[in-house]
Amino acid sequence: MEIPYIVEERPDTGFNNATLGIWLFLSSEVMLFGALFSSYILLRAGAAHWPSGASILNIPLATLNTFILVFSSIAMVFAWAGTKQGNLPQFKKWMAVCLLCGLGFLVIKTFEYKMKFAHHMFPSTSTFLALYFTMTGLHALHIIGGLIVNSYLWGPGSKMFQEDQRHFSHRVEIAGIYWHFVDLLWIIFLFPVLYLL
Amino acid sequence: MSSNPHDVPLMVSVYQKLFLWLSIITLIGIALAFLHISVLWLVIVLGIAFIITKGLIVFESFKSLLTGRHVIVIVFILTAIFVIGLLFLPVLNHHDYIIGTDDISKQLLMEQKDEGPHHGD
Repeated sequence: MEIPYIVEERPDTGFNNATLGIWLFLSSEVMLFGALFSSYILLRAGAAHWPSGASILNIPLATLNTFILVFSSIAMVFAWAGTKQGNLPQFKKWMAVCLLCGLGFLVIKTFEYKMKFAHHMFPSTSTFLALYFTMTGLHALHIIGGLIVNSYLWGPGSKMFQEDQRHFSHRVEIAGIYWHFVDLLWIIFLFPVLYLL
Repeated sequence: MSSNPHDVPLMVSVYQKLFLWLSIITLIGIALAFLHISVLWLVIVLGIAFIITKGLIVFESFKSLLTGRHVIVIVFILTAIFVIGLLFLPVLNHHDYIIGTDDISKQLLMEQKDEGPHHGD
């Protein structure tokens, strides 16, 4: 028996299964990072001394990472537009750009972590660093998850484009919603809170 | 994102504008960070203002997608309520009346001191 509402919208919710599923998942993610932000406020408000992010962290590298993620989101939109317009080469090209941006972000983050470790700054060193490594580490794990899904869609998963273009386009759309969420998490929340405040 | 292929250029333009605005606000935030404002409350107010502004820009870009989709609106409202609740948990921590472990150890020490002279008798 075929599962209903894989691509078609359910009349009662206005969404198909995957779209509703991804929004529910992202809501739980908002609560996860909301709890971390709450911990940040509690620990910062209770600390006698709190270092400025600029004095410990590398703002130019984080700024570069921010713009890499902004560009990766735009690349994801172009990739999705390619599948909608029946243009597989456009999808392949822009998804490859999106993947490279994600990898670039991780390389820069690894470089940042290495610099911290070289200066004997570990999660156990201070509360600020513990929060920094927890939040950015969790975000990096989300980026890795997105890269795995996007790589599948770019590689073996793209065979579906020939068989069922609409279904494939929908899969890219769902992966895109997740990718935008992970990018916005960095741009709106992590970068200002950890580096700029 | 839209399900109609004819809306694709419109959606692409919405995303481009969104990320352009986010980039501009991020750059303003970075410039402010280099001013080294020393007043903590001002830093927090500015930071929260930036976060809310960015959030509102994202919401404004996609609110048209929510029309007629009540389920997702309910999910968003519930998420917002839980997140606001989580953000106010630290306030509850400062107003609880549960005796902390420090208070218990102090109480035990006081009791031991009180008992001390009786043992000598």
